[in-house]
Amino acid sequence: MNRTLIRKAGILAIIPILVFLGAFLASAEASGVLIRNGNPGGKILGSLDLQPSGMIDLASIMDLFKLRASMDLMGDRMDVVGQSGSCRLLAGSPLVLSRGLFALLSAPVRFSGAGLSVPLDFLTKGLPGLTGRFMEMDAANSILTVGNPGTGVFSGEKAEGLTRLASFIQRDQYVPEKILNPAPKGLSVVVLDPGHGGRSIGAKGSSGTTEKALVLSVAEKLRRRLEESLGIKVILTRTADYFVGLKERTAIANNNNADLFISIHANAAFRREVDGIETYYLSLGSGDARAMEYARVENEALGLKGGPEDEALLEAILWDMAQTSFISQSRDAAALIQESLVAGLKGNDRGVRQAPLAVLMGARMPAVLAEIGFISNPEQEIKLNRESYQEEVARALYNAIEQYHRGLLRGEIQGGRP
Amino acid sequence: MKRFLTAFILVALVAAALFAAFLLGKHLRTGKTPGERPGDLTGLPQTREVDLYFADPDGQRLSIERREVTGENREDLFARVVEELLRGPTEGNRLRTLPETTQARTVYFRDGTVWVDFDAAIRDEHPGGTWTEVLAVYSIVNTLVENFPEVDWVQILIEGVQSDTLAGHVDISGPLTSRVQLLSGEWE
Repeated sequence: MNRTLIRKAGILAIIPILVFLGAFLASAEASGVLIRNGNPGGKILGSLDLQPSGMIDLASIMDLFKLRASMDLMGDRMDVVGQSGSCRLLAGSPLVLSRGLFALLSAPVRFSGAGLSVPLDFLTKGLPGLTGRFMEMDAANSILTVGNPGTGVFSGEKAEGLTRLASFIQRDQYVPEKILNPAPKGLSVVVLDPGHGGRSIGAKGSSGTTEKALVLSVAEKLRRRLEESLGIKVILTRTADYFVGLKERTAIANNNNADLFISIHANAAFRREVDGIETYYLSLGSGDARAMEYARVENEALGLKGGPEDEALLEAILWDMAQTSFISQSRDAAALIQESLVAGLKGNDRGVRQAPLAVLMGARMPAVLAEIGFISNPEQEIKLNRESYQEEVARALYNAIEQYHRGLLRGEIQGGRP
Repeated sequence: MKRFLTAFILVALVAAALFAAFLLGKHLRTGKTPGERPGDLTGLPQTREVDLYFADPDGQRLSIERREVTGENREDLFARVVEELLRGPTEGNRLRTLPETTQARTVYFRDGTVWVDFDAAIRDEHPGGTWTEVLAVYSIVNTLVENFPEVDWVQILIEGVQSDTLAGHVDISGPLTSRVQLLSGEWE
């Protein structure tokens, strides 16, 4: 009796050691994945390179499995089509959508100039539905076994129709960071968004200053400082006086895997005496009506069929929700920016505020909007027009971004991207 | 050009689908029926004391001004209330929230939602500014939702169409409901 117990304990003790050893060996070899046919004596079909980040270049998967892909107009989502199905990938999101079903990947899909990369588990979660083949990953040896045609389906949450995704959204589980728990890492890409442009003039001062011109000038000065002093990559959503749509602005940030999105605006009020500084982040529950509508239609057992209308509605909701998982970092960034602007410009502190701002909704990264001053106030307008004052605004914004960057590195601010 | 046209048609279709889905949803809403609600004014000329939501002198928060409004029926009453908002505040140094030249083209009520269609002036003559826009949008929404129990949502239209924003900041693409916390200058 005692002896069997001891033997069992001994065996149990060996298991963690074996697991550890296996994991160690696997990590040592994890530079590529071998693709093998599942038939007896199955031959090797090819291999996929694993990037140091643990991601795989989607183009290499597409080559190997004969998939096609198309990018949408906005350029921050991609439809991948295979022999037996299609799925949609969203830049910066860990969701794979397929006819109302979804799978949650272990890391967000990344879009970059070099193409698109996906985490390893895309092979077992997304690929079966595209190829119609069962996929099994032997993680220890980095071997993917491919089944016969007709054996694979999209391995989303085992949902029928859209029900699960809707309830998933309602339970507020769309929180990539909680799943990812990334190591502390500073900013590497910042997107600056000079408000308005082209036919959207924005606010106007009484002596003719336009918001669109002023904020572009400040954004360019800020870009220079960030590049020179912090050495990070800075992208402007517009670099001259032309119109850019609000969704397009966040799409630019999503596409470039930005770590921070800052929209720069100048303020106005109905009374010219009003002045001061405000910084915003998105209010929660933006797009509530749509999400409620969706849940209600579902509850009334109308049955969403996963048709194009449902998918359009679903995407609208996902767009509304994109920013929700970054709210706490957005609040941190907004607080730093507000504090720095008020101190640097000796301005009237009108506070950090939340509002349902369209330009922040689709951002899949911390995102804020800074109102640097009132151009409807004639005294402020004169100041804001001065190059030297614009430099001060840029310096105050720079200081806040630098503090945010240091906060990320020290792990005082959670998040950023993996 | 052809590709642009296809894209445009696609976008229009998606927008139409969303709109249709929303209308369908509203139509199927269960719960309160109009007849049981207090303040049902269908077909009756009515005079009502209403709280009009304007802005405080500093443009920080919404601020209420009471006014008597008369309408020939429920929809007309809603239209008159919107007119009063456009007329602006009369006392207490309050600020107007909407451009003086704006006109409401139509006001339409159905199944708990008021649709207010403004002319282009509400967008073109608005001074801009994020919070000024928040106060503009929610002066309309709060006034209609808070004064009339039968109103749950307000959908703002400009020149007959849904817009993403009024002055480039605040999302008004869907129906909105009241935010009383704006009386103390907070979103929530």
